[in-house]
Amino acid sequence: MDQSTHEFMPDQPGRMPPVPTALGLLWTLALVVATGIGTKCAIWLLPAHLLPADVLPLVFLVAVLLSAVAFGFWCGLFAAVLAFSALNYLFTEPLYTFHIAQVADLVALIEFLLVAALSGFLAGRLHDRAEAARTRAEALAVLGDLSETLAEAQTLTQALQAALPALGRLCQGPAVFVTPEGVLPAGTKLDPSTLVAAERALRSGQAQPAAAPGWEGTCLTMLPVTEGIVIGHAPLTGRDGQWRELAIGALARQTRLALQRLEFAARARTERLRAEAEAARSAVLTSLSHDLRTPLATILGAASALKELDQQLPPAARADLLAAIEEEAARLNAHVSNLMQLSRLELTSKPRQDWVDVNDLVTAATTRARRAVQGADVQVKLADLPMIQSEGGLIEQAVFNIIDNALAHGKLPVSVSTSETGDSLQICIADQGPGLPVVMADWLAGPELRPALGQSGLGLAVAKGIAHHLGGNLAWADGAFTLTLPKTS
Amino acid sequence: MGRRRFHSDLTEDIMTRPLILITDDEAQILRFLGHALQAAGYNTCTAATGADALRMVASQRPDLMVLDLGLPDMDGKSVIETLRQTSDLPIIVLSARDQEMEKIMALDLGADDFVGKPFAIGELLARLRVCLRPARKPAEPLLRLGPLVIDLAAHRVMQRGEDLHLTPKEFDLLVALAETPGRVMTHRQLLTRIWGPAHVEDVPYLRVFIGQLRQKVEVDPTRPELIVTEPGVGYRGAASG
Repeated sequence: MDQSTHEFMPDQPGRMPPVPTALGLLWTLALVVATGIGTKCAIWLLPAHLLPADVLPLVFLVAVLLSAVAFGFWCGLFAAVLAFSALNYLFTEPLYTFHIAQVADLVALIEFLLVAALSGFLAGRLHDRAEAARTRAEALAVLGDLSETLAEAQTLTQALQAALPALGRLCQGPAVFVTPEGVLPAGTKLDPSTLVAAERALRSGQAQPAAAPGWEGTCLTMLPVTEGIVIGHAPLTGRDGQWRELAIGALARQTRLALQRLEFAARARTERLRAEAEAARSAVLTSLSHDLRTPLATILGAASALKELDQQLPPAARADLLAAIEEEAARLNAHVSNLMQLSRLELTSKPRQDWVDVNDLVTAATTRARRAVQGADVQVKLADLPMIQSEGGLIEQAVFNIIDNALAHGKLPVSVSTSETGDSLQICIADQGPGLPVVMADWLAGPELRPALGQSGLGLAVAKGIAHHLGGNLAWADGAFTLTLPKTS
Repeated sequence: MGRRRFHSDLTEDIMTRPLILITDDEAQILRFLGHALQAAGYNTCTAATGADALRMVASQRPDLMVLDLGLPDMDGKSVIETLRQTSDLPIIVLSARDQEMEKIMALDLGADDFVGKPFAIGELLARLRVCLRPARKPAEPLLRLGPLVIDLAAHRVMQRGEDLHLTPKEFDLLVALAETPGRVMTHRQLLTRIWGPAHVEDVPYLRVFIGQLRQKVEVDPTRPELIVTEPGVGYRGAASG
């Protein structure tokens, strides 16, 4: 339970006891009258020694105590006055008048009144304390439960939904939250004047009390919680209204803290995501620069070795170094052109619309791949396809990149097939390898063009970019890439 | 790429050549380094992973290791750390030019020198020669750095027959650089050695002393030849011819 739960429980000894209810006063009247009539009957019916005259005040004292305990201080006092009158009227000489003949009787009656008033007062205090304690215990229980449910809330709506029943229990009437998104519970209609009161509460930061005698207000008391959120609750009546108001204040503070916690959590999450994205970007940059550096290091190293160790190098080594330079220069060229391609695709220029035969492009890409990778086993199965309007060079590049990727990371043989469904064409490239890592599959399904973390090379990134650029899609499922191209753009 | 030993014609001479272990996960780098180092008169063996490298060190007992810091299985730095617990094997680290922190950490962990990628083969061969040179005998009373002759016992430095007046700290600094000619010393190593472990972060301090020292020993202090700066890493005493 948080601090705010305790705050609203100061003891207030100077406070007047709560106003008696009409029901309590009626019951008191009935009790005293019944006592009077009962006693009168008993005197008539029973022998005189069983009910001596000096016992009679004690009988009435019981009635006074009873009503004080049951209905509080004011009813006890009322009972004392009634009992005094009844005793005077029914049992002291002259009977059936409010006159008092003997001075001794008068003293006795006044003493009785004092004793009755005092005991009524004490019993009434006890009653009122018990009542207040019950209200406090109830409010504490409500707030205690609330702090638990608020701690579990994960969203703003959840938090407010959790606070709503507690609010209802504390105000013992209708309760709402007014939020920028609408009123909770959902579907509640508030009249415009109530909404105006809510806005006034937000602007002033002060509670706007509901209508009361001598105060022109709305049907709900509006209490600001935090930015944009206002509590509306039924006006607090009854003798414990003040307690309930304090409890609702505590509820508002608890809710505000819970909402703040959620906001901080959300902010922390955003920050973390941004940091992760930043880390991923820098990792991608590292991997890209690695792709460029390794061929460069080989070229520079091999060239300088040829130059500086000219005579010492055996002919075979010399040939191998030259071959390495050539291969690495080709690799570097591929990386650079992929990088250029990717940058170009990120600028949203429109693709050209030539009539192209996708089967021809697949064949060209396959031939290129066979030439680029020694021992590349690429099997092709082509369906009869209609020509489409698209940019042929890009399609060939995408298919080549996917085949190249399969040759580098998958297992031979790589099979390429084309097919047609409805309004699109598919090019399917499958290998026998272990498949795509989860990170890569996620990246492929997402909108981000730049390569995913841990992705070496830009081939797939370019293929994906081309697919999107041409209005198509690149997907991975069951060990195969499928490049989908629309028949009409 | 497993262990591969590059053999050329087996002659008497081959058996006495120093054996260099090349650890790099890039096949192409292993390929050209193999050819180049063999042509330059070394025997070579290779490892593609850190674990492989540690095994090769134990089984082949190489005279020097060329180590790429970016290995697939373990960080190159932890290879150095593991190796240094049991061995003084000279290690030359290969790392990208812009990864200064990596280099410094590798050197402070006990690597002997570094070459930034990409590099010309001459640069690596020069570092190899320096690292393979036998350590100076402790009894030797005179140190040389270029034209400087340092008399440790007499605390004197002579340049072309003339006495140079150095403060004790300048003298210590010069000795530190002259003891390992051609080898890089990191800022941290120099600061720890001369000013103590409490001053390892006082790089600006070191810079001031290097500046003063250069004024006294260099022919042209704006173009230092005896005390060469390795930007961001440390300083290097001139390699003795």
